[in-house]
Amino acid sequence: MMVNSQKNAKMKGLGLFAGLVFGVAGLCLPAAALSADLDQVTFRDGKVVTGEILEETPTEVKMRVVIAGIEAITTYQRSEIISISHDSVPSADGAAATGSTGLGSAGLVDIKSSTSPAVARDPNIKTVYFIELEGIFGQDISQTPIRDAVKDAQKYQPDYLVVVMNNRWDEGMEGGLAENEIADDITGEFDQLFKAEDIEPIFTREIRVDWDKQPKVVFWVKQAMGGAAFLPFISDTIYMSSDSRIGGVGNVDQMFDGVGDEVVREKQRSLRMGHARGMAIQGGHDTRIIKAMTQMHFVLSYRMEGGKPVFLERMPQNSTEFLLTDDGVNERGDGMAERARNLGNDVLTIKPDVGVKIGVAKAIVDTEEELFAALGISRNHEVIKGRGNTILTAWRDGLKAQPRSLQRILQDFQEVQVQGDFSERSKARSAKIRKLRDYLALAQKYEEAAPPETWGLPGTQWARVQITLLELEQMADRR
Amino acid sequence: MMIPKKTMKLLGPVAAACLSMAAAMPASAEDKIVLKDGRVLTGEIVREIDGFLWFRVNNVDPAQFFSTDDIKTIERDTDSAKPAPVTPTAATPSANATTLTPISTPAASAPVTEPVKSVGPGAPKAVVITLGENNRDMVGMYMTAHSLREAIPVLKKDGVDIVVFRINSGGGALLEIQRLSDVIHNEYKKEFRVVAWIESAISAAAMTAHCIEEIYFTPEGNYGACTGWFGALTAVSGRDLESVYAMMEKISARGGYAPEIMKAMQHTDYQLSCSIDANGDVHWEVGDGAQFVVNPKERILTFDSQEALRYKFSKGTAETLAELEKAMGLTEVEWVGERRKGFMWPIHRAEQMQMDYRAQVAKDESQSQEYFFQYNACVQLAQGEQEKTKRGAFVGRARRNLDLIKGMVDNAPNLALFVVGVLPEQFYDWYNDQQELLREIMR
Repeated sequence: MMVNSQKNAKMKGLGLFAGLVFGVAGLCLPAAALSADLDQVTFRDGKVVTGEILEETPTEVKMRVVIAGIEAITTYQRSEIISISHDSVPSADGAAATGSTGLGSAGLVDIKSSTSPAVARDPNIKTVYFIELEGIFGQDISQTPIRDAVKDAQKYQPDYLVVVMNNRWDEGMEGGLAENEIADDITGEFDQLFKAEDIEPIFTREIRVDWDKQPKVVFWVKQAMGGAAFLPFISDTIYMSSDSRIGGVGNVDQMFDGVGDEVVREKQRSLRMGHARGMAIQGGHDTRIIKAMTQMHFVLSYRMEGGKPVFLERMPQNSTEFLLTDDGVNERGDGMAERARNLGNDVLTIKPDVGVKIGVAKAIVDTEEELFAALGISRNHEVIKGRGNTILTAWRDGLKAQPRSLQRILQDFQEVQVQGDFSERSKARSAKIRKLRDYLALAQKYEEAAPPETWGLPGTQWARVQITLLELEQMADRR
Repeated sequence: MMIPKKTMKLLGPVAAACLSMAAAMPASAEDKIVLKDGRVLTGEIVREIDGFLWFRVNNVDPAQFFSTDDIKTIERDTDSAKPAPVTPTAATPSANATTLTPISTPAASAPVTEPVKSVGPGAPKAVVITLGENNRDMVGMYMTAHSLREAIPVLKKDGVDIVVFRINSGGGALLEIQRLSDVIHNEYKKEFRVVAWIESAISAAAMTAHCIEEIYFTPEGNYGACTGWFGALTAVSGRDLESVYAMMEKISARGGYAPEIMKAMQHTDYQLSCSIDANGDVHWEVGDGAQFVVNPKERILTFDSQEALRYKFSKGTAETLAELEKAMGLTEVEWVGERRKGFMWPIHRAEQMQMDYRAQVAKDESQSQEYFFQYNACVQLAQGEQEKTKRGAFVGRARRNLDLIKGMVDNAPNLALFVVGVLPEQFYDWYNDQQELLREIMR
């Protein structure tokens, strides 16, 4: 798991020193001054340890603690931990901040936090907190790390919460070459809408309920394809970069083709469209845009009146009207040449210029400076350097490492042999159970994004059954 | 999931032998409550929250409700030979019966200390009750008539006037729709002003809400897509379909909705259009002859919040409680319950019951296979164990899992059907047989 490299070097040095100190009995030294708020780890047996988390892996948490003035580095097993709270205990110089994040958060103490929540600010300076959503939507981009990142943002009460959407949409996701982008007309990911619905409340309802000061939620789209396409629509303030696109969900009409009865297929499509339209309504967008993005049979054109788009559910009838999508039937179907060049119009993939014209995007911006200018805060803004993106990166890295880590645990589990006398057999079973609990903890941590079955590994139920079998074996065993 | 055949086979002869004994066996639980009116009742405490009891008198369903005002004393079953009563948590139950405390606290952090906003003495009291939540929304499992009915005494006790059902469900079992509609129409509406606030009501959830005259949507709300199906997207058809149409015609009448609306939500045969006259009244018809085509041919209707409002299916759109108050025309209202961080509305005990109920069902649903696995494994190990102490340990563990299985069905009777594959009555017969089997093993 990622550790800030600069900090790591410092911590290694301290760790060595702490090791020396800890070995000298009775010697009291002043605790190292901590410039950051402390972390707190709660254990299954109720014990609570406060200190500084140095490193987290899928199975262990390494902490620096100070006991009676003596520093020590100690490692705890995740299977013994029920929750970890980052920066939740005030240090000598700062105010406390967040609540518990459970086992889901990566957690690094950023000694160099650039903005303390407690510092009073000039109200004319608008604060901006960036959250960067990168990676595979539904896996790297998932509700738990996003929620943790937004909780971090909450500490700073920013004026703007800028969500940068830049999800992967390349053949590398399916085992092909990562440098090959998936074309606009490959549109099979509508059902990722439901993942978008898992994420959406974080930016809408939860902020509305939990935040004292309401930020402006802004989406800056660099790429929003598949289920990620729905998410920006929850905001009325969207910007697009010049090479961005929003789409990849145009397969509703073909969903469930060949399965069951048409009336039931139509029901499935209808309920999905109901959900999708709802997300657009929430952000104040025209639902016809969603229809054009998702339903091949839907025809949509527009003309401009008074600088605003007027939508028409038909083909253009004159030169002042512009086609967004046709019905894709017969000669109107996109040919190979159009599809290969991302110029098809059977369904709508929103490109930046069209996005601005039809009112989805406010403007095209490629840099932070351009974004601040578009928001009207070029000269009076401050970017907050919180831990949100660290949290998201740690989630991605942990998810990437997960299959290897799970396999390693499985291997360790299998290598423990239950043999020898009663005491040895009991110890072996306990060791196996510990491994299974580690497996469960790691599997559950990322279950929302990639359950173990994703990697061809046994699921959590298997692990629980194995634990039961070992416990029953132990009960039946005799000295 | 079915009761494992191996278990049934294994237990068959034993079960048959036990059936004749079962009738002579004493009641499986002997809790006793002494009421202030002098009555002494024995039976089983099924549920207890804040001193309110649901008590199965003489162990006969349905459980009756008693408030703290009714009860003088409670004596809980302390016979250590009997299985400990079901507790919803995984903790080992003690021999002394313990209170069935609320199963889980909601995910939100500790309650804030600010008091509920007080209003004038005449202000109506309102409560939000959620029907369904993310991943816990199936009608018939997480949204049930049984759990709604249990909440009524608690609502009445607190003098609640308005109940807002916040619905977030993707649908579920056809068999629960009539039950839910009946409890809402026949029991809730008699006591309270009933309002539906739709976040998502798809299929059976929409069919449930359809008996409520006063419907509001959240901006992202959706409602409809009520086609019945089973298996691999096979449509309900023929006589069964006509029965559902007939049921929904009656339920539509309860809500005051034109039956054509629900038909357009159920089948592609029903193109739907409407006209709005000078008085603002909406006239619905099948076909495309009216002013507005609401549902084109060969489509299934699902309303979004804009359409629902435009065609006056909904009375308004509300994102927040304040907006809902306004839409409902409430100049003053007291939202009753405990204010908690992370929740848009105060959490009343009736709502806490729904949340607890769903949490327990979710836990049971995900662990039911393990309950059965453990139970069966422990029974087999106990039967093969010669040493009495060890046999007792296996029987104890078997009993705990058997109680978890029973608790699962006590809490949500439909789980007998959805998880075990039998009707509730059959399930309790099976349970009694297992109790006897465990006693036999210990002899």
